[in-house]
Amino acid sequence: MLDGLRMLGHSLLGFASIWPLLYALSATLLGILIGCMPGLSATLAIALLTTLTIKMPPNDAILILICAYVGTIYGGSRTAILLNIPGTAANAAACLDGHQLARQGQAGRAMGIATTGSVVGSLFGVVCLALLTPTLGEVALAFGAFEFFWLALFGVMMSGSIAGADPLKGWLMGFLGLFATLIGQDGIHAVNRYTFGIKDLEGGVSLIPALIGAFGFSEILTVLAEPARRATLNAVDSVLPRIRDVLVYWKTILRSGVIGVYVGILPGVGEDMAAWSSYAAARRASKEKEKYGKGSIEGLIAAETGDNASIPGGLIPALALAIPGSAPSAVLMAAMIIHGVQPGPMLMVNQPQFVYDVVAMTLIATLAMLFFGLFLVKPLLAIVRIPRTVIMPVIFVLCTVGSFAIASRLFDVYLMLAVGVGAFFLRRHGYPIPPFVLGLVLGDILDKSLRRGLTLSNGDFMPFLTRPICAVLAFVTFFTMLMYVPAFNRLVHAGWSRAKSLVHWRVVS
Amino acid sequence: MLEPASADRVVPRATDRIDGPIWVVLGAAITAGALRMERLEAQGVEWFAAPGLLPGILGVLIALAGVLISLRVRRAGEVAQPEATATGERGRIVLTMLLCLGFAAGLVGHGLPFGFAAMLYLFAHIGLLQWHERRASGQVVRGLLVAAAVAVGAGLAVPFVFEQVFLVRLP
Repeated sequence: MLDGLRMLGHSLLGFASIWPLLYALSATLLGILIGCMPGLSATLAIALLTTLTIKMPPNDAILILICAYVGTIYGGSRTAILLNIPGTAANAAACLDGHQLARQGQAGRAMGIATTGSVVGSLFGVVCLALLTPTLGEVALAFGAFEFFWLALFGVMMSGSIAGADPLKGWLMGFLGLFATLIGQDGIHAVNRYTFGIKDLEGGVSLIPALIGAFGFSEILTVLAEPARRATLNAVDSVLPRIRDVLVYWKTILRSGVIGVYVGILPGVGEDMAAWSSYAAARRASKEKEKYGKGSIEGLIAAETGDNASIPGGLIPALALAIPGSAPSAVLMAAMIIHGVQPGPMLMVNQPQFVYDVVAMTLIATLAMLFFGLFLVKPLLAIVRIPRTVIMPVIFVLCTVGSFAIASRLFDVYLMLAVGVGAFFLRRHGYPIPPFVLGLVLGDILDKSLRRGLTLSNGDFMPFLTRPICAVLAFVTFFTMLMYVPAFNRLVHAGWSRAKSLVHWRVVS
Repeated sequence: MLEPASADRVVPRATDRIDGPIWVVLGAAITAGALRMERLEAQGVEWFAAPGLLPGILGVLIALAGVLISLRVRRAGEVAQPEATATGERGRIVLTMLLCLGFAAGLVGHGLPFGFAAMLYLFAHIGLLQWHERRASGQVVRGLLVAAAVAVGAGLAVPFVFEQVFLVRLP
């Protein structure tokens, strides 16, 4: 514990100089601006900034990316409250009550609440990041190929179950993402798989260009397909949060923070699920249920606390296990690898200081978010007035540059185009993209773990099911999938109801 | 975890009638490719370490998912019809796709300086996207000037920022 505090102090001192602070403020501001613009996601922001910062020292580059990440998720609450249009998917829950408050002439109060919730949620997440990452890293040292196989599969299946409205299509996208990552030279025997003689494909499907295509180009196509509309903004009152609003709902804030971190840790489940889960839990426990959807302060604070707490939450498995908790944390992981940091169980052994550097970066990002949230509301809103017909083509130019910059290959630009067009049409047919992204990230781990595990067990699949951690992960994975089969679901519910009534009978008697 | 199954409430889409068979064909093709892949038996590699193992499994799973999607839409009493497209939506999609593909695949990396290629693309795309709105409000010239200003500004700023400030090579 003391070692951890010492390293955290060392990290904070390392960032206490002009250039890191300038980077932090600029990146957070840029993130907020990007978050304010509907159609642009945190994943795209981090992917584009990864290419921009590729020549910078690792700590400066990762600081910029984390600050932009935090800023983007927070910035989306601005348009959610003022225009009823979430800047990012994570802010959709904030629309329900935030916009109602704006219509009642309390836009400033709503934004102050959103700022408070975001800051407190992020701070709670930072504490969890500092405490849980080293612990999880130590536990993960006991993980072998068998355990990593199930972790990777669990991540993809969980993402497929929860992202989108149709689990079957979600799992299919996960399988597709896993397959896409297998294209190219096999990592164990260097055999070409599905390259069809194309030299450029031997290096595999590059993650950053594929993400830019899936979250950038496909989003540009989606946004520009809609007719143009002008944003009209309501007047904004004072944005300073009232202390009373915070103190009255302290239980909601704590609950939402815990849910946010927990959802963030779950592989493949993003900030939007954290926001909705926190909102739903707050509503269930609330004494003012009737206010939800009509301008509930409690509902807004729950949503914004949850989604911001999930940002550090998503970094916990990314750092400790190399399994990203969300799509933006997947890009962050890729950026870390590009800059020579290897996430995973050995991180706490080889580069323990880096974990506390990330904690410090997230803390700095949170403070920068607070600063801009309180003092720069009205100027920031000017960005919302820029028409999409101007912003989106410029963003596409950046997508082209971003795809090229990683490896200086035109092939990556073509890959971005192909993935973007494919993702656009798949989305229109109801196929969610996050499981595909997670499949892309986890496919290599899954492939190597499966083959190494089978080699260790000489072709016997039993260790995949009988080792203790594997048994738990396998049970959770299969149980989650089977719950989407109606007959099995009815069976489980019947058994659960019977068990509850038996317990109730025993308590009563 | 004990929430009612989403499968109960999922309403298949009309497009699933086409998608299902496509996934089956894709899955079968992936599996066939995996079966034809080198197994490296001559190098003493066992079947469970063969490079085609996971792709083969994934091919089967994708094909199976395609079969389930096809069966589900065939058995469904009602299907969700595609949402009505907004006026001009198809045109905007085709326009955006053509211009984006034309820029990224046609202009970039084929001799033109990146900044100049970006200027041409931005002027064309912004001008065309705003054309109807500007014409309806009698601001065509203003619209073209705005498109030109954004095109020149971005065409100069993007290469400068990436190449001179952040030292990132452009195509």
